[in-house]
Amino acid sequence: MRKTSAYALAILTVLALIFFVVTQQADDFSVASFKPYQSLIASAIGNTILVSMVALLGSLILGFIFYLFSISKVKYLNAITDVFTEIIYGTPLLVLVVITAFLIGPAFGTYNRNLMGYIALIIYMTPYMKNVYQSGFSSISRDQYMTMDLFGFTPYQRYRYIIIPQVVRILMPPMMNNLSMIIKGSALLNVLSYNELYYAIRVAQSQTFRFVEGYVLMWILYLMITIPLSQAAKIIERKWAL
Amino acid sequence: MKKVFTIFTLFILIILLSSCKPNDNVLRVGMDLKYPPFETVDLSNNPEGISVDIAYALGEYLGREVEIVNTDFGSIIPAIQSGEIDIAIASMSITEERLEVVDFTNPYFYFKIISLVNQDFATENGLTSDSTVDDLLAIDGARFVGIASQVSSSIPESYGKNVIQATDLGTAVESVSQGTADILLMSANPVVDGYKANPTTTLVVWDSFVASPIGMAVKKGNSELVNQANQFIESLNQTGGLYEILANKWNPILLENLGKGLDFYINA
Repeated sequence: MRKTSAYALAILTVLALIFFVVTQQADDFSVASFKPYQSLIASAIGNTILVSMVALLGSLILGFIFYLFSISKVKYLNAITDVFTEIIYGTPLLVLVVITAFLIGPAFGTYNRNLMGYIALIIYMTPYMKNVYQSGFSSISRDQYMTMDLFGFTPYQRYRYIIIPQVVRILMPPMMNNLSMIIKGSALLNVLSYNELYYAIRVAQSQTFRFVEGYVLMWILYLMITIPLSQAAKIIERKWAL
Repeated sequence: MKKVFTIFTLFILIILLSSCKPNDNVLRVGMDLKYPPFETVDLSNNPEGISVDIAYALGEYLGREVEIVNTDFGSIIPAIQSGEIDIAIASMSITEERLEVVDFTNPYFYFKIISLVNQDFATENGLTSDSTVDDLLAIDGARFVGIASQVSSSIPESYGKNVIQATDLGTAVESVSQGTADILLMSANPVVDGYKANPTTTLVVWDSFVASPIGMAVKKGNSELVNQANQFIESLNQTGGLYEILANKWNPILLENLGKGLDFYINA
């Protein structure tokens, strides 16, 4: 119980801070002027979640391929993984988004900017996902595989009882970091005029000119997406792990 | 090595397949839908505004279908250069710098560039809404804020002023309202809207720096489209032409927001 009340107090502290910041702004603070934009903002939240999920899945797959490349015996594949990883690590996401949509896309004859935005996010996350796999699979020692052979585990039993419980515990926290990185990063797609949350609020602001309210609303809505997700991940972690 | 070849072949195949550019009759018009009432969206995110109406009218004039490509203002010129859009009808001022990288049609509007001024700053320096441009320029140490890539930063810079660059209208208006900057130059609509949202902390100075000519921009060397668009622009003035149609449709909104009708934009 003491832990709960400690959390309640912490949340109250932050709320008080937010309240203070808000009251220091425009004297007639009211988000009511954003009401007509409900459906626009709702579809933008949908798009933010959609692009995040697509980028998560895409980078999970591409990251796995890159993990396989990095452990492959073909030297060229190892090299390309390394070069690619270095380049992505050195590139800010905003730069990558702009270059993918305005230079790489047109070079390949596609002007589908939203698609290129999705691809930029996937590419950006791929090396991070590769690392997640790397740390996950390296945690299962050779001894454990030998023991599993010894007891004659079926593949299903191996994964269900030995590998996944260990890997999940290791994978979940960095995976969650990556997901919230994606969600936060998706705000940058506003430079492509993709209708995600940041963009929708800016459109509404351009018509209402209630900038302060818009930014506060935007902040709260992002938290409403990211916090439940990180909480859900914690639950999954506890349930699946050992 | 075999694998390497397979991968290379695949790669080249992908490049070849995807490089078939769509060649169609669609006129792709770029604009940034965040500047009402010229370029904006309705509540279901469909393009709407005076520039949108002009775009569709141009399409009709040329007998081409129109696609509005919503593009952040700073990315419009790159999008023209990469061929993503055919023409920008984006309330874009014709400036020397831009003429070096794109071609413009003749002006179809003139945007008077007026100022949004921080109220405390105005009181300190004795400014009122009837003050002149010279009054504003005479104040030493006035902090100008402008939006990168727009005339709101290039005009004060041309007078040798230091300009704080904001990335969008929101942060620019906020900084004037909060007093981290003193003067923002913009066309009349955003200035008046910004004032209406912050009536106690800001002031509009109506004397205009310039009547900035607004043209449509196309890729450098695309004289065919420029000529066609110029012919279209000449037709706007006719009785029953597009100016009249636009005035009938938009004057109620313009008068309510700005206190001035479309004439304010048509005449230099």
